[in-house]
Amino acid sequence: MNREPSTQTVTVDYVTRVEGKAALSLTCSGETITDVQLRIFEPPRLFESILKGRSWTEAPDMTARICGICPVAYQISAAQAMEKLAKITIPKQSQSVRRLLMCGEWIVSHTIHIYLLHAPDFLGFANAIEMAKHHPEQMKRGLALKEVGNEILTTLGGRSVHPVNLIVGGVCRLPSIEELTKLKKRLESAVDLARETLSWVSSFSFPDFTEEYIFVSLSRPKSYPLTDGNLVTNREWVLDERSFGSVILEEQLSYSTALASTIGPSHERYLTGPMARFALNGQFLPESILAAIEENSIPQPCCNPFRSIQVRALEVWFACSEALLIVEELRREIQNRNGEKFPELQTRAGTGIGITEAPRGVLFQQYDVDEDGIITNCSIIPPTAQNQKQIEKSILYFLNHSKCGNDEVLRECAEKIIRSFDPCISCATHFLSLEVQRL
Amino acid sequence: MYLVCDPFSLAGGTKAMNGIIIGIGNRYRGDDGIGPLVLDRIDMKMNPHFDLVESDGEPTGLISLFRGRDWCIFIDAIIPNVHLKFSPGMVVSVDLLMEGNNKGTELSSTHTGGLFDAIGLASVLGCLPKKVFLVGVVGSTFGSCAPLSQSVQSAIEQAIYEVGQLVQSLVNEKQGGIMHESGMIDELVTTALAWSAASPNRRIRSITVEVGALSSCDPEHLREHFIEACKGTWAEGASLIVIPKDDITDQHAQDVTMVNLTVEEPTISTLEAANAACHG
Repeated sequence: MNREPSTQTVTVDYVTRVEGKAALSLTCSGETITDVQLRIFEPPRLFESILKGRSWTEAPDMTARICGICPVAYQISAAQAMEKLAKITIPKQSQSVRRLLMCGEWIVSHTIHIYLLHAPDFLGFANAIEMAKHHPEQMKRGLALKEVGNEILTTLGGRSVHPVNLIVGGVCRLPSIEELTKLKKRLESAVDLARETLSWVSSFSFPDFTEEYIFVSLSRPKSYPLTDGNLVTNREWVLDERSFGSVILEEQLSYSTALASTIGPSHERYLTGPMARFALNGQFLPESILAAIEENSIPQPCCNPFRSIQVRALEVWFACSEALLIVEELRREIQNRNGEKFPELQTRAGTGIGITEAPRGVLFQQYDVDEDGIITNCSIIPPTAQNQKQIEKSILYFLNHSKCGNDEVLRECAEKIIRSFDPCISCATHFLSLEVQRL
Repeated sequence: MYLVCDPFSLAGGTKAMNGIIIGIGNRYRGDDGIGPLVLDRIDMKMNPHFDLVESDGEPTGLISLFRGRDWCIFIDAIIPNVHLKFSPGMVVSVDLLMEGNNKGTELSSTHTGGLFDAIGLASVLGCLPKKVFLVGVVGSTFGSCAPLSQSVQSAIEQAIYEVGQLVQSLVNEKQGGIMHESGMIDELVTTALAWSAASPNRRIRSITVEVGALSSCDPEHLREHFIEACKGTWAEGASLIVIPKDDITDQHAQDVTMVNLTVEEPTISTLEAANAACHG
């Protein structure tokens, strides 16, 4: 009996356990998925327009409001752009405080993703609460680890969400010796919790699935990138902050409120974030972490998105160790020098670019400022917008690779692959509804 | 005469009560600010055994706040539900640990997680306070920078009252039926004697105490224990003046506070008597 080709629509109304709101449309022809659209329908945030006409010193606090998970990355990128523009060198201790805040942000963001959003997928639970019933000790460890991240943010930034200490020129307040001593103790225990986290997630079984990626990340000489560095890729393009805007093409997709980025002359999809950082800078991780990578057989580069949970875990470990080093150094510095002189802020006209490694990847900000210090133009490219097209490609590839069958399994598989990329939809516009069209 | 204003620890050396009142919300999002705003109003007036904390409601942050707490009272805005016929400004007081009152949502993302996720997760992790209540105020406007709506504005007093009622019922429940006056009076007399020891004349004539509205102390019982506790000390024969207080929002509402201590005027005869007593 001949069947007429039928059109079928399957809807994932909300993708759960991702940051923000998005829907997914799949078009299928027979068993093959032919098209994927990650429809981000959070309202556009219009931050770039809001910033125009504002003073150059307001950018860090305003951009921080783009995201409640990675406000520090927004603040540092914005502050660095303005400091470059106005040729301000920020004091060393302020620099350390910024790096420490970023460590706190990485710990919080990655720990939430590992324990509350991603791990339930590997252990077969619908959500974190179900998982916690069977793995209470692990969940308690996750919460304890996240708390240390929050403590860094609260101690150094004034509060854990949208910290207030970070300004153009440096920071408003340096921590006291007592605060640093307290943090040091917490971080020493956090390093152990992070090591245990890596062992735990390495015990999961991962789908046999790898892809080839174009990776983009910051890179520093002989150290793992965090708040600064040069842009690098695993391809032939030479990237620097000035050319980034022209090598990257941002396009408006009709079905999404977020802009989607591609790279290079043939507009290829690319990936930024933990997997990219690890692929391009993994060799600069501390010895103890490198040993654990070998022990847990984590491939480098890691091209299996499901294994990104391991990469996030080793980045949490890195952030804890790095934070510990910074705390010790800051303690010595503050003890010896009793603080530093805040640089003089002089308004200058020009263009400034600031790039940091937010937990989810490269965060680019560019500002034009006039002689009165007013922002006349600005461009903000968050990590999830850059990853959006690669995520779509991976969904297509994975769903066809794993032959999911009925719509329910399809929905589940689609959600799992999306979660592996830890998209922050709120940032990209700036949850997921799945629609499958069977042709 | 010595004036002392020093609240006593709870009777008989029992552990101080460990409660937390958490105001959830964002002050800049219209009626969502009700939690923090109610918190402002009860700040410093509330019972000392409750800490007051403002929170954005992020679930893992709330779980951290539960640590070591016996009781928790949340103050939060409620989004009107057409099915339940809640109208803006309505104040509800709910036991969140009662079956059916704790309808958790799936932890969908940290952007949408909230109070029930925190309670659900804390419950399976065994770190939930023994009692968890919600004083909820039904809101109507939640826009950025929106002011508090008129209906929610006029519900603030009611919300404060509901929190006070919960505090009182929790404290009463804890203290109910326990004969704790004896321990408290022993402590009172010891403190009074320590003060009078600094005076040239050590004999105590009277002690005045304020009895807080939530202290669950009966003045008659206090006097009986006082007479017993004073025997054989410099306070023997002293009178106990009890001033009952009725303000449950007073910061010392749970305490018995010594406010006045009168010692005998130093006379040669009393000094001699005192010396004789000391050496005898």
